[in-house]
Amino acid sequence: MTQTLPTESELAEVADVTSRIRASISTVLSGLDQAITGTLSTVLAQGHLLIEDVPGVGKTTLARAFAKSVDCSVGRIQFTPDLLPSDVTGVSIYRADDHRFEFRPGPVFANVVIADEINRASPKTQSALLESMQERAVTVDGLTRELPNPFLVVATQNPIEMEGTYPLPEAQRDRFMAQVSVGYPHPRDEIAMLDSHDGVDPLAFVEPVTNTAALAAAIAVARRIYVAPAIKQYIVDLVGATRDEAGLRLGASPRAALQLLAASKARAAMAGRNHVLPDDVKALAVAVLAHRLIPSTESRLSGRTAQQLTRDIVSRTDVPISARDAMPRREAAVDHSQHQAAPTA
Amino acid sequence: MAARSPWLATPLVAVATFLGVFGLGVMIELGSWLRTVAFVLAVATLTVVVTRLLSRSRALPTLTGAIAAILTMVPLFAVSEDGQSRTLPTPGALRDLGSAIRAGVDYASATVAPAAPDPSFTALVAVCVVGLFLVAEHLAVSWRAAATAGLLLLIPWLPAVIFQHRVSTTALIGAIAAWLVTIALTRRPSAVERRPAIGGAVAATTAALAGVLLVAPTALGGLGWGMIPRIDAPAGLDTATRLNLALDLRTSLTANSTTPVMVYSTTGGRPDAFRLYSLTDFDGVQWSREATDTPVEPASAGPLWPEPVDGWDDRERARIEMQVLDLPERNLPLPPTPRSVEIDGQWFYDAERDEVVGDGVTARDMRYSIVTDTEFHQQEDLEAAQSAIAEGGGPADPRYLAISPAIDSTRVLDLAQEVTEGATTRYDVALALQSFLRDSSEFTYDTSVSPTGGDAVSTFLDDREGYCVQFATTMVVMARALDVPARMAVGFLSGSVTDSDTYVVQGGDAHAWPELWFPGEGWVRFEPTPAIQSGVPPAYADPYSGNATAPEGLTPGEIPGFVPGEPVAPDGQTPTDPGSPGGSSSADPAVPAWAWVAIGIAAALTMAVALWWWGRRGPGRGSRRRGHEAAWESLRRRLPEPMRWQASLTPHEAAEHVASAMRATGPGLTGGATEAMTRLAHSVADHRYAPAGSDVDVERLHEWADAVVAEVEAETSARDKGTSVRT
Repeated sequence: MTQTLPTESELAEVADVTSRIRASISTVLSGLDQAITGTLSTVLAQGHLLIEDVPGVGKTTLARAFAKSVDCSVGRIQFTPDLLPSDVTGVSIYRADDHRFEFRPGPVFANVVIADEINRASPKTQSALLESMQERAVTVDGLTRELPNPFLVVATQNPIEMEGTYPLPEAQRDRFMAQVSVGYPHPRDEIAMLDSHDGVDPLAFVEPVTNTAALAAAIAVARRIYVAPAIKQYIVDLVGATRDEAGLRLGASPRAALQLLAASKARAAMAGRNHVLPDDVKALAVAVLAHRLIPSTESRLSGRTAQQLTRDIVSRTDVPISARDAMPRREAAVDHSQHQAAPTA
Repeated sequence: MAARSPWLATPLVAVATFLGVFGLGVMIELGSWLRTVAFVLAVATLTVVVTRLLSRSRALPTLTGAIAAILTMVPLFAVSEDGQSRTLPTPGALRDLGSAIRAGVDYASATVAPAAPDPSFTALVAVCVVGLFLVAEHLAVSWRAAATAGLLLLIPWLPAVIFQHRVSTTALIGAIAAWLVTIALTRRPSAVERRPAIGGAVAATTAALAGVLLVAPTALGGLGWGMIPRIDAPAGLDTATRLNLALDLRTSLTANSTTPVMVYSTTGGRPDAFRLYSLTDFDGVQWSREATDTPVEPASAGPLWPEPVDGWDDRERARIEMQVLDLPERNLPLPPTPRSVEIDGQWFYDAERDEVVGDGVTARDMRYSIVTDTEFHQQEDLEAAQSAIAEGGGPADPRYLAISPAIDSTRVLDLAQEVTEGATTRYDVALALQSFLRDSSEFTYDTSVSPTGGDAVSTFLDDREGYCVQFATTMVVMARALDVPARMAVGFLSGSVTDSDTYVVQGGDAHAWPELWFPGEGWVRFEPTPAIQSGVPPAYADPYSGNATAPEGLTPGEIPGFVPGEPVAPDGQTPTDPGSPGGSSSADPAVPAWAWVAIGIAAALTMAVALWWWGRRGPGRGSRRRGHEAAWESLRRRLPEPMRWQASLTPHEAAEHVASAMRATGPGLTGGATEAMTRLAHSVADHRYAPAGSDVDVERLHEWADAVVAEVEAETSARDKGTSVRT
C-alpha cells in the first residue's frame, strides 16, 4: 500500500479543523487541554473514547460539547442495569398494515454515540455496544447494517468502586483507544464555570464548527503521517516495558501498540506536522496505555495506579535516536537512500 | 569493510592460546620446547597484527599469519632425508616439514603420556597451537565472536579436565583474563550506544590490577608477594578446615605445591619420609600443640632417639646430605630413624617430642647432614616387642592413649576390635589397621572433605573419603582405643628422584602419618593413606612384600616402599620433569624477585598506555558519530550537570529542560540562546524523525550548541562570582 505524505495545505486544514473544535469545546469546559487532545486524537485515529471520572465533573458535557461542535448525528444512550441490547442496536417491529418487519435503528446509528455510564449496564448490553464499536456494523435478525462514518463512541463511566456498577472486563477496555479523565477544575475555572452556567446551559450556545466530511478528510490525512523507524522502536520499547514492569499484572497488548501509533499520528496531524515525534507518543502514552494495564496487588496496596506506573515507564524509557549516523558508513549510505524514498514509501 | 578490527585483541588471543599449552601437562612434559612453540606463535601473532594494521580485510591477516608460521617452522623442523636442515621454503622443504609433522603424529600415537617431546612432536604441537590461535583469532577479531572463540580456547584444557589433572592456576587465570579482555575489546558497539569507552575501562582495570597485584605488595617491602597474607586453602594438609594442624607448616603448603622445599642426596637407603613435627593432642576436630619446656640437649650430642639404642653407631647407616630450599620451619626435617646430625648453629633434640628444634627457623640454602639407620625397624623385632609390651613397657605419658570425649569412642573401639580380630601382637594390630584403611573398597582418597560436626573421625568413617590427615588421625585414634600408644607425625614424603642420588621434595609432598609405640623400637611409622598419595607402606609394615628383611645394597629407586619418581603428591600433582634437574630451584636465584616485579609493572603499564591510546583514537569516538547526533551529544556533555538531560527526554523536552534549569538558577537564557537551543532541538528532531531528515548544515548545529554553552558558562561563572562577592 503506497501512501503519499500529506501536503502542507492538507495538514493546515487538519490543524484548522481541530483547533476550531478545541476552541468550541473550551467555551463549555475550560482547562481541559489534555482531555480535549486525547479526545481529538482518538477521533482522528478512528478510535473510541472512554471518559472515566467521578460523577459531576463534566464527562457527559465533554462528549456532548464535542458532538455539538461537529455537524453530525448524535446518539445518546443512558446505560442502566435494565437496558437491553436491542435498546442499543435497534429492533425489528412488525407492521401489521404492511405485514412485514421494519427495522427501527437504535441510538448506535449515529456519527457520535454518547454512552453514558456504560458500566452501569449489564455485561450483555455492554457487549452489544462494544461489538458494534469493533465491527462498525450492527447485525440484527441476520441482516448486517453499516454504521455511519465517521463513527465515534464516547463512553463515560464512573470509577469501578462506585456502587451499582459492572466493571468493564479488561478485554473490553482494550477496545477503547484512549481513556481520559476530566478531573476537578482549577478554582479559577470553577468560578468561571459558576458564572457561565448561571441560569443558562452553555451547551445550548455551542454551534457546529465543522462537518463530517471535513472530519473524514482529517482522518484520512492523519493516516498518512510519516512514522520514522525510531518512533516505532520507541512505541515497542514502551509497550514492552509495560509487559516487563514488575508492578503490573497485565501489560499492554499489541493492539495497544497499534492504537498508540495511530493516536500519535493523529496528534502530529493536529499540530500540522507530517511526521510523528516522540513527544506525540509521550503525550498520549498514559491516555492510550494506562486503562489497559492491571496493576499487581502490591502496586494497588501501595497506592500506585496504572497511570503512575505508565508515567514512570515513559520517564525512564530512552528516546531512540536515529539510526542514521550511529551506524558505520555502509549502513548509513543505505539508510540515506531509504531516506529519499521515504515520501513515497 | 566496517571500522578497523580491534587488532589489540590479537596478542591477547595468542596469550590465551599459549597458556592453554600448560593445560596439556598431563599429556606432554613441559620443557624447553615451549620456547620453540612460543617463538612460532609470536611470529604468527606479529604478522597478523601488522596485517590487521595495514588491511581491513577479514581473511588476509589469518592467511598471512599462517604463511608466516609455516615459513618459520621450515628452518625449525624441516630436515631433509640426508639430515640437512632446510632454511628456504622450497617445495621439498615443505614436504620435509609435512613428514616431520607426520612423524610427530606417529610418535604421539606410540608413546605413553606424558610424552617427552622430540623435535617432530614439537612440530606437531606447534602446528596445533598456531592453528588453534589462527582460528580463534579469526573468530574473535575478524568476526568479533570472541565468546565463541573462547570455546576453541578451552580445547587444550580438556585433557586436564578429563584426567583430573591439576593445572597451573596461574596459567588458567591468565588465559581466562586474556580471553575476557579479548571479549571486551572486540565487543561490537551497538547502534544506540552513547559512548563505547571500552578502551578506557580496560585501561583503568589493568592499571588498578597492576596497582593491587604488583605495586602494593612491593611497597609493603621485602619480596612483595611474600607480604600478602595467604588466604587460599593449602593444597595438601590443610585443605579443609576440619583438621587444622594449628602448625606453621601451612606456610610451605600454601606455596605452589611444585615449589621445591628441599633437596637431598643419600649414600645408602632412602628414607620413606621426613618428619618435622609430632602431635599428641587431638580434640576431635583438630590437632593441637602445646608449648612445652621439656629439657633439651644439643642435637649433635647423641642418638636422636627417645630410647637408648644399643650400638647405634655400629649399625649399617646411610648418610643424607640435606639442603633446605623454601622451608621456613622451626624444626629440622628428620628421616624416621635418625641417629645423628651435623649442623651449624643452635639445634636441640627434644626427646619428649622426638624433634630437633632450632632457636630460629630453617633458612634457605641451609645444609646439614644426617646419619640415619634406615633398617632399624625389622619385622621380627617389631613382633618380638610383644613380650616387652606384655611386661607393660611404654611411654609414661597417658596423653598417647587419650581419646577426646568428642569422639564416639564406642564406635571406634567396636570398629577397631572388629578390624583387628585375630591379631595377637601389637605389630599385627598395626598392620590390620593399616590394611583396613588402605583398602580402596573401604575408603577413597579425596582432598575435599565435608566439614561437619565435632567428631571428624566419625565423619570420616561415615563418608569414607579423606586425605592423609583423616587416614592418619583415624589410625591414631583406633590404635589408642586398643591401648596402643600412638601419635601423629607431620612432614614430607621423600619426593622424587632428579639425579642418580639426588632427590627433590616439593611443597606438594607434605604428608601426615601415624606413629605407634613399640617398646625397644621407639616410634614406628605406619602408612594408612592409600598408595595413590603415599606409595606402598614401609618395608617392615608391608604385608605383601613377602620379604620381611629389607634387601641388601639398595640403590635409590629400588627401595621397596617407594616408587621412584612416581609418588603422587597430595594434590595429585605429578613430579616435575626429571629431564631438567634442579628445576626452578636452581633457576630462581638467577633472576632476583624485584626484576620480575619490575618487568610485571612495566608490562602492565605498557598495556595500560596502549589500551588508553587505543581507546582515544579507536572507533569509540568521533569517527562513528558525526553529524546531528554528535552535535547534540556534545552539547549535552558540555553543559553542567543540572542542565544535562536524560536519555528519556525528546529533543524538544530537552530544550525545555535546559531553559527551565537556567530559569531556576538565574534569569534564564536570552532570546538568542533560546532560539539557538530551539533550532538545534528542532533540527535534531527533524533529523531523527522527519521523513526528509534535517537540511540544516552540521556546522550550524555546532554554532548553535556553542552559543548555548557560551551563555550557560557565562551565566554560571557570573553567578559564582556574585555569590563569592556577597559572601
